[in-house]
Amino acid sequence: MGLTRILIIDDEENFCKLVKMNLELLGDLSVTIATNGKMGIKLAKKTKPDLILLDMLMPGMKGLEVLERLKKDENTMAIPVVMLSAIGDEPSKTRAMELYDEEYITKPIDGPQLKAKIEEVLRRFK
Amino acid sequence: MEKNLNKKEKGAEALVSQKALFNLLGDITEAMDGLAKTKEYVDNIIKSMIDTLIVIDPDTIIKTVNKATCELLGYKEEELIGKPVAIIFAEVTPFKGARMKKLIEENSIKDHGVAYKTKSGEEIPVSFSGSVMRDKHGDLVGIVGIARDMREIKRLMQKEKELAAQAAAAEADRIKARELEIAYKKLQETQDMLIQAEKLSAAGQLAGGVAHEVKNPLSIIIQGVSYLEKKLPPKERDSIEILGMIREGVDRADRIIGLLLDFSKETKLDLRPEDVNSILENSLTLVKAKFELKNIDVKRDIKKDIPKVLADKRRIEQVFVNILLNAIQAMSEEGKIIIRSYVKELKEATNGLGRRGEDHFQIGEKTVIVEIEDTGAGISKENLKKIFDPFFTTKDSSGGTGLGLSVSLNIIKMHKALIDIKSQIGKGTKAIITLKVA
Repeated sequence: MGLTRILIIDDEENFCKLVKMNLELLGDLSVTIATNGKMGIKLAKKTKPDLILLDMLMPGMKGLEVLERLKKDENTMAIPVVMLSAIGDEPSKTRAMELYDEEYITKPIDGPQLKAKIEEVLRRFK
Repeated sequence: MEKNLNKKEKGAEALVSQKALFNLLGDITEAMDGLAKTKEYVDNIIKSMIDTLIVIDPDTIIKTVNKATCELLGYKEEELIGKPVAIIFAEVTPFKGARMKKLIEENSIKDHGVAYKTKSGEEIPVSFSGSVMRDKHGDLVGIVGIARDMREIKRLMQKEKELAAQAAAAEADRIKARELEIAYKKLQETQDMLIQAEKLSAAGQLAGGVAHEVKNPLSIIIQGVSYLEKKLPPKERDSIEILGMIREGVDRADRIIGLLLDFSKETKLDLRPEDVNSILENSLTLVKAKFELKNIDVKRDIKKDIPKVLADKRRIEQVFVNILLNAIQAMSEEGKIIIRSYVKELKEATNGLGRRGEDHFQIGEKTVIVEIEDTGAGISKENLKKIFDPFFTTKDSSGGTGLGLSVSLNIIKMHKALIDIKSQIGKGTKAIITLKVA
């Protein structure tokens, strides 16, 4: 069984790096980083990850728009998305959940909690 | 027969007549003396009268006036005698038209309010009484009038009226002052509530604004902590302990942000009929460790079969936990906490210090009451006014955030419920929560 591939889309570069280090340290996960929405969509299409961690509130293209584009594209529509929220954009989070029935987690979250959530979502999607 | 009388007899007869004449003259003189004395007597009475007196003939010509009349009106006696009575009246005289007719018919008038006019033209209010004089045939021969100067009486009456008006005005002022005081108090309460609402709203806005900015760095810290915790070998005890402290600090900061976010008006409640006793038990379980640490005894006086309340379980639990944590903080070791729940029909609104929440209850409404009482240090009156203010805390820096009770108040308000805190220094504090029956 190969590594589970995760794409994290978040403008907080240090956060992304630490998530990558944590998840990869905890085992069986490989993490790719995108620090903005456009790059995230491009990488999603290209690498087709097993799961996407998507920050809701980013400068430029917002998380909700990224989600909508991913869900409209047949190459990425089946990829489960876990939204990362710092409770700064409640309406977007609510809308995303209503539209796409996606999971969300609230920051701050530590490595093991994040890994547990990823595993839970992947189990549901299999 | 006269012819037959002799000279002697005639002389005797003349003597008798003379004597009779003398007697008669004597009688007349005596009668006149008496009359003069009577007149003098009557004149004296008239003169010494304090009230004014006038006598007029049937043609309303003044025949007699007394001294008091002359003094009052500034006339000499001779200036009035023979003059029409109208000259001493200001406008209306009782001796004209219908008034005169009535006077003659009824033979008298009593205490008529009219005005005299003095020689200089000043008008003097008088109370006038008149009486008709008739001869033995019943014919009118004159009218006697007595008038009393009413100026002093009127002045006294006016004074009395003014005093009464002043008293009424003073009473009105007192009532107004009382109303003003009540209105001011009400205004102050409203102002307090507005300030409170403003503080909550400001805290909510602030929270919304900073939550994202603070939570992202916190996420970085906690991810870093997780990584290092995993990487460090178990022998690095100090480093692991330091990471534990950092984690605790992040948790605390996150909790404060979470509490601040609770002020946000967009927070929605998930209201359902809930059993308040089980919410209470859950809350107690959450803080059980802290009770045990301080050896605090928890006494329950919980009524079973109380109706379900309309509540967001998680939120009400948060309120109970906040109050329980405050109670634990307020007590030294071996204190006591008494938990009560019961049904109460509202008889009147309580009005204690520390009572907050919109009054959504009706007198007579059945409510569920939860009481959490401690035997702690108590809260001073001064502090009791501030306990619901965001960031108000009496605990040292290691203790609370000063947000627990303001968040609780916000939750209570959203539930249209009431929270009332009563406290006595040295005796303890009691939180009374009134909830709506589902």
